[in-house]
Amino acid sequence: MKANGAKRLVLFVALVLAIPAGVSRIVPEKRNFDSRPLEILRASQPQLVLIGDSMLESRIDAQLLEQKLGKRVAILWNGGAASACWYLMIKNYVVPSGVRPGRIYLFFRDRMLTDSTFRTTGIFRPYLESLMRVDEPVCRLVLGRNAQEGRGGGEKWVTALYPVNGRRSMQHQRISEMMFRALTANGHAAKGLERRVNSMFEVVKMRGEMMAESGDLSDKSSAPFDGDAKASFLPHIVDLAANAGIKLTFVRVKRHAQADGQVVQSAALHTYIVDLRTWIENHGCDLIDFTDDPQFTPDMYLKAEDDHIGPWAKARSTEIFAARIQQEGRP
Amino acid sequence: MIFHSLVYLLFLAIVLALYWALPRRGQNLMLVAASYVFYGWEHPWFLLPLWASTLVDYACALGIERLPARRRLFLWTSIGASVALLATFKYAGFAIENLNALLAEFHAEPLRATMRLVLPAGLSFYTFQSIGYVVDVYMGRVRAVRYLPDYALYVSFFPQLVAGPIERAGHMLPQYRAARVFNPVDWQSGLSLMLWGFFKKLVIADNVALIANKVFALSEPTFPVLWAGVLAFAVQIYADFSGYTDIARGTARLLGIELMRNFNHPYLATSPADFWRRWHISLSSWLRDFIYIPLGGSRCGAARVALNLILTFGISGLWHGASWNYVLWGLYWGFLSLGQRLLSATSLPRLTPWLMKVAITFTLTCAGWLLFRERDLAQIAHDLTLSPFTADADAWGVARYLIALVTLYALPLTLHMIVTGLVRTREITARLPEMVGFAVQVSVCALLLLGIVTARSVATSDFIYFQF
Repeated sequence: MKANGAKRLVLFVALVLAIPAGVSRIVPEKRNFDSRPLEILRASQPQLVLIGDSMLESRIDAQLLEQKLGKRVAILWNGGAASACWYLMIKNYVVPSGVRPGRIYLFFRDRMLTDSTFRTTGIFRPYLESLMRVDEPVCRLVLGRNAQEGRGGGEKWVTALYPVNGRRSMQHQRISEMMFRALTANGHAAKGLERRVNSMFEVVKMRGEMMAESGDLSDKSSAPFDGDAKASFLPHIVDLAANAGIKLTFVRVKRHAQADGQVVQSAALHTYIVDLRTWIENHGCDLIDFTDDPQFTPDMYLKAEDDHIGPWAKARSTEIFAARIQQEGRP
Repeated sequence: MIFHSLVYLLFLAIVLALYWALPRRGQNLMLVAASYVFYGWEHPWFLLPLWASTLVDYACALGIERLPARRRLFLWTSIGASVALLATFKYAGFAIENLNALLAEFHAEPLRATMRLVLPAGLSFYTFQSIGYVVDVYMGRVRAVRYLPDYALYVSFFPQLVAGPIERAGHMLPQYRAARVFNPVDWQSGLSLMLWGFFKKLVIADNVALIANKVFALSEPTFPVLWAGVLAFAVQIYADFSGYTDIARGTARLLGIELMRNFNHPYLATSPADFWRRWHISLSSWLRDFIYIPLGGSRCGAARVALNLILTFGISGLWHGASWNYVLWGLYWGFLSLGQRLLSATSLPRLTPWLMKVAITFTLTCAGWLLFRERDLAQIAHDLTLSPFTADADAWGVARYLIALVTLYALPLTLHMIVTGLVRTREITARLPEMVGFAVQVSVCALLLLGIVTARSVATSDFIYFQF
């Protein structure tokens, strides 16, 4: 009787583990690559492409910038984007779109360009994966074991046994899209609802502490600048642009300033930026640093201790940017 | 160590292999050692207050039995030590913060002392369990444990150490003293229960948590979006906490130990009192037996009963966290229970249809979850003044989307509630041929595992009740 029970238990465990493994292999391996930005770039044929995160979105009004510069402008941004996403945006959107913009402006803060794993896991993972093709060798190289899943250790084994485990962020996206469609009459209305949801949860509508978290930066790090291609996406971003014949300018935004308009920077960060500039310029690119620009005054920022520019100062911020790049002859 | 990690599964496999190879005494010693490894895995110093609590309460309980003339002294020493532990780690910072706020009102110099200690996980759970044991010994309901490792196991048994259930000595100690027999049927049900717990935590709780967290991060939420977030939190906290309990009970069953049921479909409750008979049963029964009844319970005048209720629920709120919103949440339930007592004297409860009672109780529970989730009292006040009439169509559209998502993720919970809470499933399955029952169990478990690997949230968080 007990032997029968033990056999049944073994059969139970084996079936429970094996059935999902079998089903998991039947599901086709297809990443839900988001091709919409590709179509937008092809349709708008921009002469300048601006890439960044919510810092870019809060600072630049694309229409106003077009008016000021007299050039077509496209903005590729996402609130959870960082260097891994920016690399993929250039690789999988700008370059394959066939559009050859005169220049790409890449907006960043402090050490983001070399902080390779920043915003590549957890809630940031779905967006990162929406930018990925089936295989991304550079992501594998730079992020290492994090490239496929965002977590190390046993995840690799779980994914080997159940391949759907590695694609589950896509399942959530599918569920979300299915819900948009189910709640609306047609595809157009579904897109509208998606826009309203995204707008409702924009970073600028979050509480102070959440905004600080979303704008979290490793500014406490004292690590020196490292241009190693295995350590960060920066060399790959530069190579991509150079191979595509696109000029590249990195734009360091001014973080929240003190009452006197100055930004506090550690000595280590200052050294890092000097080394970063040298590296960037040695590789044929430019760096515009707004950190010491007195035109960005504390009243332009959304909240104290926050790096986002308030909606009331977006036009002003756009004008400052337009004037600066015109003055430096880079548009 | 956390349940939803591969390290835990590896740890459990090793523990099970050693455990079933040992005799009973050896099994208990091994479980104590394993529990300490589990608890001290990330923060070894967490073991110090656990050991202190174990030794003091073990000695006090023995003292109560051996020196009857001083039994009251031993009782209060034990309770005092437990309260001191809680006060030091959990409430000192809160007390100083409030005292400083009060001093500032009177333009007095604030206290320089600050207390920002890390709260050892599960402290509130194991101190309550220890207090329960010493009081039970004092009342003569259980005999004091002579063999220290048995008592150490009672306090530290790893499946329930961090977030309960808060067990009773009368239920656990006889199990630790008895010989355990490997039972494949128990293993099958234990593994199924663990799988269901993992599914609730990883697929339901963690996914709806993303919605709740976003809504509660908004600085100016609108009425419909806020309440969609509250609904998400209601699902999250139930799936999270009951998921933990299921994993704990499932794990214990693999070790031949049966833990008490901590949840009984709380969202099917028909009144506030019914809710507390179904939600966190081990805490509510502990509070009833060790606070409410000693205060006089319901066998006194109306005013005293009201005070007893408010006090008991106030303590329940404070047990959850050193923050005014938890106190407010506790008092809210106290007043609801009071209101229910007043209404029960009328014919209204009898005339109200069952479904309406469930809907009203669920709505009241959700309102309570707003107080529980939102720490900032000013924000709570602001949230409660939001009007549904000022929200625009966009806000309602977004809320509809959020509610639809929450409903979708909560669908397995709803099905489970219908299948096991409303339909007489046990009777039906008992009539099924054995092989059909086995096939159904395999199918459901395989589906749960497939759900975990397919739809597990990409952003896993700790169990909510770890912070208490």
